[in-house]
Amino acid sequence: MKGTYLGEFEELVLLTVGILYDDAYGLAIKDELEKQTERSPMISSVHKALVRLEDKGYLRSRLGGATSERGGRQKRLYELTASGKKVLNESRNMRNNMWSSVPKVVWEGGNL
Amino acid sequence: MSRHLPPQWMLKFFRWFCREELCDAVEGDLLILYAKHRKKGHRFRADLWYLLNVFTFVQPFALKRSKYSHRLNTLDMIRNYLKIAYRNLSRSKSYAAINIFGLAIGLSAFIIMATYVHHELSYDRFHEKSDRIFRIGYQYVANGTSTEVAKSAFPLKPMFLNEYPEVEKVVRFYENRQDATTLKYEDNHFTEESILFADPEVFQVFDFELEEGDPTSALSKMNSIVMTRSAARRYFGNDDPMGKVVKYKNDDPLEVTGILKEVPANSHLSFDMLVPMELQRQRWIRGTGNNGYDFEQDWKWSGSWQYVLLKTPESIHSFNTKLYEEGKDFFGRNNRVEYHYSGMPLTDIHLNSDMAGEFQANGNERQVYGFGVIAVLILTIACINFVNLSTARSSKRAKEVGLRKVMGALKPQLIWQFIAESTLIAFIAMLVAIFMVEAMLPFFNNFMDKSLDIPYLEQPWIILIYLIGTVGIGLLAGLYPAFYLSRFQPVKTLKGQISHGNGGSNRMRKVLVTTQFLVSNLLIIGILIVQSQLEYIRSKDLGFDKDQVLILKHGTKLDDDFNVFNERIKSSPYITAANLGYIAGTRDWTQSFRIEGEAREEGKSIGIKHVGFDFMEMFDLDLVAGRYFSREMFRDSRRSVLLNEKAVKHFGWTNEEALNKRLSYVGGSDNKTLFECKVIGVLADAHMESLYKPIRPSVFKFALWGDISIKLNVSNIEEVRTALADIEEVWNDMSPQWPFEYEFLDDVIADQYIKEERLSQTVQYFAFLAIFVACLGLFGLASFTVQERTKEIGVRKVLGASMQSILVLVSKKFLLLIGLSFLVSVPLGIYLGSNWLQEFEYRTTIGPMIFVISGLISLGIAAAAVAGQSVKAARSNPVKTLRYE
Repeated sequence: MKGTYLGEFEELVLLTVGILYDDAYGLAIKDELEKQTERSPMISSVHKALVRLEDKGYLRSRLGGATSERGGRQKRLYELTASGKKVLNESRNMRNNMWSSVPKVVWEGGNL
Repeated sequence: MSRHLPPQWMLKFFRWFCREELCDAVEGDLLILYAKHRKKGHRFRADLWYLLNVFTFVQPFALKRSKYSHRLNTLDMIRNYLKIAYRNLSRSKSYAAINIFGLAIGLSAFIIMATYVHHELSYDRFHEKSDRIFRIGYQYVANGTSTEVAKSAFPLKPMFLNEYPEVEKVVRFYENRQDATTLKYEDNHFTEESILFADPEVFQVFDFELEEGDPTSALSKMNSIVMTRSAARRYFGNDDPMGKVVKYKNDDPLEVTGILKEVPANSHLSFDMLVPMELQRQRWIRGTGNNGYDFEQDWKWSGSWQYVLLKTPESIHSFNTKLYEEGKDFFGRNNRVEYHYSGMPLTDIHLNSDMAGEFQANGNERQVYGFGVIAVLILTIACINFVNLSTARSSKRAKEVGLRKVMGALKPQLIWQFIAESTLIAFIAMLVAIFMVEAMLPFFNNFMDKSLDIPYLEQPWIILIYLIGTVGIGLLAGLYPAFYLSRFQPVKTLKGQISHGNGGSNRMRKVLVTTQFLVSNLLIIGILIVQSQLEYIRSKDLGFDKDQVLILKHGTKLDDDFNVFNERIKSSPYITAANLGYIAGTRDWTQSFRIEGEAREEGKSIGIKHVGFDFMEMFDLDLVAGRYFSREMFRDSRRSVLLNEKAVKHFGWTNEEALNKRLSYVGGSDNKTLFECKVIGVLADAHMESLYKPIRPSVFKFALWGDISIKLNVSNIEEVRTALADIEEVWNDMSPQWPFEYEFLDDVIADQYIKEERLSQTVQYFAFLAIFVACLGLFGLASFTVQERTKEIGVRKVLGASMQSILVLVSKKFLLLIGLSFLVSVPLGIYLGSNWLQEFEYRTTIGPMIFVISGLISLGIAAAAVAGQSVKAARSNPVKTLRYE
C-alpha cells in the first residue's frame, strides 16, 4: 500500500500541474517550478514525483502531441484528479489552521 | 533543420531499461534539454550531460516493470529455498560442517594443484616469438646405447646463419660450471651462481627485458654485463648501477650496460646476470696453457645451449629435415658414429626434455599430470561425501518433499531447490577454500621450491572461473541427491513409510564409500613406495665414502700452490688430507676413446675422471687389479690410467686382460692434444653418478688440476668448526683475493634426489588431505547410521545383545567396504608403483609389507572414524533410546 502522505516537493509539483492546467508535462513542470521557486530540480526528480503522484491517485495522465522538437516523442500530459484537488485543499486548510494558531506575539517580535 | 541527437547507444541504453509508459515522455524532455546544451557549443559536454541524466533515471520508479513483477514469485521461492537450506544447515551443524569443510579441503587442494599445473604448462610461453624458437639438440648412438644431448658445438651458429635460409637469428648460452665465478666491486666480492654467457642477440630473440640500457647493444661490447636490480644492489647498494665497473674473476673489468628485469619463474633458462659470449672466448684464447683455444673453431665440444629463431613457425619441418640429413655424419666431420640432430620447440623443453646437459632439471610431464589427477581425486572424494551424506539424510527431508508436492510443487522445481541448496554449500565451501589456499600456498611453495601465487587482482578472470567452478560443483554434487529426493512419493513420505536404506541409494552409497577408500588407499601405498625408494637411495652403499668430505668452491684457483696448501692444512688435527682433482659423486666429463689395435671408436659414452694421488684412499675405493697412481712413478702423471670394472666389461676384457692395454683420446684444454695411455689398474665399481643412471664406464686419469676436496676427521660440531676455521686461515693467507666458500659432499649428493624428496612430501600432504576428507565422510555416514538405528539398537540391548555385538553390527558394513577397497587397491598400487620405479636405475622392490602397512593404516583410520559413533550407540541406555518418540 502506498502511503497517502504528501511530501513537500510532491506538493509543489502537484500545484504546478494545477498552474499549467492544460499543458502540464515533465519539462514544462520543471521550467515552471524553476520560475516559481528559484530552485532547479533534476528532470528525473520531477518525473519521479509525477509517477508517484499518479500511483497515489492524485494525478492522471494521457499521451499528448508529439513535436519535431521532441524528436517525435509524445508528451505525457498530467491533470489533477478529484482526490488530488482534495489533498491540496486539505494541505492548505491544515496550514491555515496552523497559521492561525501561532500567537501574534511571535510575529510582532515582543519579548516575553 | 537537422536535429542534434545524442549518441545512438545512449538512446538505446535508456530505452533498454526505462519502462514503456515513461519512455517517450522522459526522452522527449531530455532531447529538448539536450538540444539546448548543444546550442551552447561543446558536443562532448552535452553528451556527458545527457548520459548523467539518463543515469539519474536508473531508479525503481522508471525501470521496466513487466518482467520484474513476473519474477516476483520465483524470487520468493528462491528466498524460501535459501531459508530452508539455511535452516537445514543450522539444524544439523555437524553435518553442515562436515560437508562444507570437506568440500573446502577438496577445493583448496584442487586450486593449489591447478595453479601448479598451470604454472608448469606455462613455461616459456611468455616469449612473444616462442613458436619460432627451437633449441638444437642431438642424439647419438654408439654401441647400441643412445644418448640425447641438449647442448651443441659453438661453430654451428655461423653454419646455421650461412647455410640455412630458414634461420633468422641464433643465440647461444654458455654457463661456466668448471669453477665458481666471482665478481668484485670495491670491497664487495661475491660468488655468482646464476650468471650466463650469451650472444648479444639474446634480447631480440627472447623476451627477457631490460629495465634500463639498450637491448640492441647492451652485450655487444666484450667488457659489458647486465644484471637484475637485486643483484646490482648487492654490489652497489643504492647507487645507480649503470656504468659501474665490476671485476670478473679478479681480472676482466666489466661495465654494467643494462638492468635486467627479473627472469620470470616460468622460464627454463634462469639467470641474474648476462655477460657476452665473446668474453669467455677471449679469456680462453689468451689463457695460459690453452694454445689459443677458440671455441668458434671447435666442433668436438658440445658446450652451448643453442636456440635458433626461424623466420616462420612452419619452416621447422624443412629446417629439421635438412639438419637431420646433414647432421648424420656430423656435417661431414665424423662418420664413425651416427648423429641425429633436431630442433626442439622452446615450449616443449620444460616438460618433455630430459637430455644430458640440460640447463636445469626440467619438470616431468607425467608428474604434473599425476598431480592433476590427485587433485581431481581429492575433489571427487569431497563431492562423494556430499552425495553420500545428502542421500543418507534423505529421510529427514522426505516429509518436506512430500508436503511440497502436495502443495503443488513440480519435480523440476524440487530438483532446482536441492541443486540450489548444494550450490549454496559449494559457495560457502569455496569462500573457506580461498582462505585455506592463501594459508597453504606458502608451505606448498616451500617444499616444491616454487613461487606460485594466485593473482586475483591482476587476473580477475580467475574469480570468474571460481564462480563457474562453484556452480559446476554445486550441480555435480547436487544432481544425484536432487533426483533422488524429488522422486519420493508424497503419500508414502507423509505416512512415514520412507526408509533410509532403500535399494538404489544404498548400493550407490556403498560404491561411493568404496571408491573413496580406494583412492585414499592408493595414496597411502604411493607414499610408502616413494618413501621406501628414498630410503633405499639414502642407505644404498654407493661404493665410496662420501662422509666428512668438504669441497672448496674456489679450489681451482689454487692449482699451483696445492701442495703447500695441503701440507699446511694437514697440521690441523681434524683434517686427514686434501685431494686435487675429480671428487667422487660430482660432475665428470665424457670422452671418445680409441683402443689400440681396434678400429672402432667409442662414442662419448665413457667418463673421464681426472684424479689426484689421494683419490682412492680418500673415498675409500677398492682396487680390484693392478695398482693405483704412485708418486714414485714418473710416467703415471701423463701416460697411465685406471679403469672401473664397468669399463673393463664395456671393452669386453677381464680385469687381468685389461692391465697394460693402451687407449688414446684427443682432449686437453685446447681439445686438440692426443693422449696415449696404458691401463695400470682396475677400481671397483662405485655409484659416482646419481642412482638414476647406471654406473658409467669410466677412465681415471691422473691430473694436477681440478677441484680441491678435504677429508675431515671430526666427531662433533665443535671439531667441525675448528677444522673450518683452520682451513679458512690457511686459505685467506694463501689466496686472499678469493672468498673462502665450501660445501659438504653428502649435501651435494643429497641434492640430486631433491625431486624425490619433494614428490614424497607433496604426495604425503595430499594423501593426508584425501584420507582426512574421506574419514570426514565416513564419520558423518556412521553417525547417521547410528542415529537411524537407535531404536533397533535399543531393542537389541533390551533383548540382551552384548556391547561387542552392537559394535560389530554398526561398524561391520563400513569395515567390509574398506576391506573391499583395499583388495582392489593392491593390484592397482603394484601396477602404478612399479611403473614409477621404472624411472630409477637402482630401485627398491615393492614388498608385501607396504600393503600390510597401508591396509592397517586405512583400516585403523576408518575404524577410528566409525568407532566413536558405534561405541556411543552401544553404550546408550535402551530406556532413553526407546523413549525416543
